[in-house]
Amino acid sequence: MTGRATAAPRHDDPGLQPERTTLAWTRTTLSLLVVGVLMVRLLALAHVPVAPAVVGVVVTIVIVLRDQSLRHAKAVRGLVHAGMPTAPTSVLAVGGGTALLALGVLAALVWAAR
Amino acid sequence: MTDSTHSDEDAPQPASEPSPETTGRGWLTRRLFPDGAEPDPRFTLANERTFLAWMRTSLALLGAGVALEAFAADVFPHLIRHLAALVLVGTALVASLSATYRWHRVETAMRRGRPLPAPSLALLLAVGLTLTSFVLLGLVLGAGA
Repeated sequence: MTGRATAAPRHDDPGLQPERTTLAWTRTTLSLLVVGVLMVRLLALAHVPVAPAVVGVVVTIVIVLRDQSLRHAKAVRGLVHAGMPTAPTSVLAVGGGTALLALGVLAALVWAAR
Repeated sequence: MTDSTHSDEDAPQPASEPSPETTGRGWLTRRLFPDGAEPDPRFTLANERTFLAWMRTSLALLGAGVALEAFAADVFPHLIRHLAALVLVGTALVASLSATYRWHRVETAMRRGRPLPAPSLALLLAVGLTLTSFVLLGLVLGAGA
């Protein structure tokens, strides 16, 4: 009666929520990459070691990409079955990573102002 | 349907469909959201997108501060430039922390069927950005004159 279980079940949500959410994660990860590159440039200009910033940005992006890789299918399944958990790993990675980045820039600004 | 001679040991498994309430609730999710019921998935996703929009705002503030410091060179007096960059980056820090906190509060409120908390940071962000914009605009106009 039912067809074979497909990897991506269908949902009838006209708001395209999974798609919009996936795109939002992608945009934010890209923004993090761009700002991270900018920041590394600033740190290099201020003669501050750049390794922690590079490692922090790369680790954050890898965590988000890993955690979100199957998220679109999960969201579609969640809409079909009316229930899905949120993504705390990605949220904490982006929130914490950005806060650390801001802290690093603050430290570099104070360092450069001396 | 016609395959009635098929007599494997595995019977049809209607119980293999996991209940939505237990799918993918990892350790961190159970720790952060111990009580309440899973809200409509669309609300969960919308809460995530709101968090992400705040994070991009925070990243934009951070980028503005970095750009001001790295590329403005000698257009502005140094003290004011440092001060403006500090305000921008400080706001970015506050925005990223409060957005994460707010994402948790909103998700918890939705799980418990409570009213959502008000976006208290929006006012602070508007006032801070307006002030910074006026200062920088004045400096740009002053430098051009």
